Amino acid sequence: METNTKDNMSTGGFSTPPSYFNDLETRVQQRISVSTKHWILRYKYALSAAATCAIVLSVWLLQAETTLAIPQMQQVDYTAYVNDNIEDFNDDEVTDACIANNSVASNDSEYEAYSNYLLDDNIDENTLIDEL
Amino acid sequence: MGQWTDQDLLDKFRNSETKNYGFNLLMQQYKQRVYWHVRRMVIDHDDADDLTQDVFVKIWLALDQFKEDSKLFTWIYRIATNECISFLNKKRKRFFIPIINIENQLLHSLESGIHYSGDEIQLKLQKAILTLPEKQRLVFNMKYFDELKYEEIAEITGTSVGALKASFHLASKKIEEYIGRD
Repeated sequence: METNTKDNMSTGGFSTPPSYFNDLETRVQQRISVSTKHWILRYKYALSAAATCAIVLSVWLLQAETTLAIPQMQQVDYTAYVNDNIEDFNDDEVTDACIANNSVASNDSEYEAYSNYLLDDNIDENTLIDEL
Repeated sequence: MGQWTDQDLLDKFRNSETKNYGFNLLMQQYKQRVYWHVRRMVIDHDDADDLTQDVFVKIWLALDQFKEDSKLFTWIYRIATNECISFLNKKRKRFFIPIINIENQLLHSLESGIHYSGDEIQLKLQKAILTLPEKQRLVFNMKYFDELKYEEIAEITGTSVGALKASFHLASKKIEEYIGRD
């Protein structure tokens, strides 16, 4: 039994096992390293989940950006190209290209109505180019 | 071993190269005060040992955030006091022990005599202290055994000096009555 440097009165009569205070620091340091490991373990799964979510989100955003950006770029490039090289196209080619382009986006009935409009109203090429 | 000032200890702890050394110095300086403070509250040595280690782990984790708006030892005492109160509350909840019986359990630990070397008068004093409500017991221990000033106890417990004086006075009266009974 030891009561250490404090006198027996101030300890209230309590005592400790022999040399109890001598290695208290070592035991506390051990507990600190264990508790730090526990902290890392406790948050390991949460950190893994967060990292996975971040990766999935990044990939998704990258894909979304690529998917959205390409048609816009194509549209801009196409328009700029046509504007820059308008002299190189003859009127028939432009008309055919426009009809072909619109036919991709339009459904069959729209295409048919468009064809009928051109044929029935006897639209000349200049009017058509102006309208387009 | 000389006493280190709060600033010395904090400077050493906050320097990454001397952090462990600073913390060891802090433990050397405060380990006994913390242990005896805890021991008088929880009575059993094994519980006190466990809680003392917990207190120092908490100090290690929180010392970087210590704002120095109080003395280091009152901050440490506050952590130790909170640990003791939490421990006793947990014990009550875990075993569904009504408030009155936890003191009986502590009394049983005291009477078992394990790691107790006090004489008959000291034992009687400890038994008398165990009859007090937890807060009074805390205040009485800090005033009587640790000889802390009311201002320091007020900082630790977050209670006004006036309330502490009243609490200590009441506790002393009850202890006198208990001891004077036989």
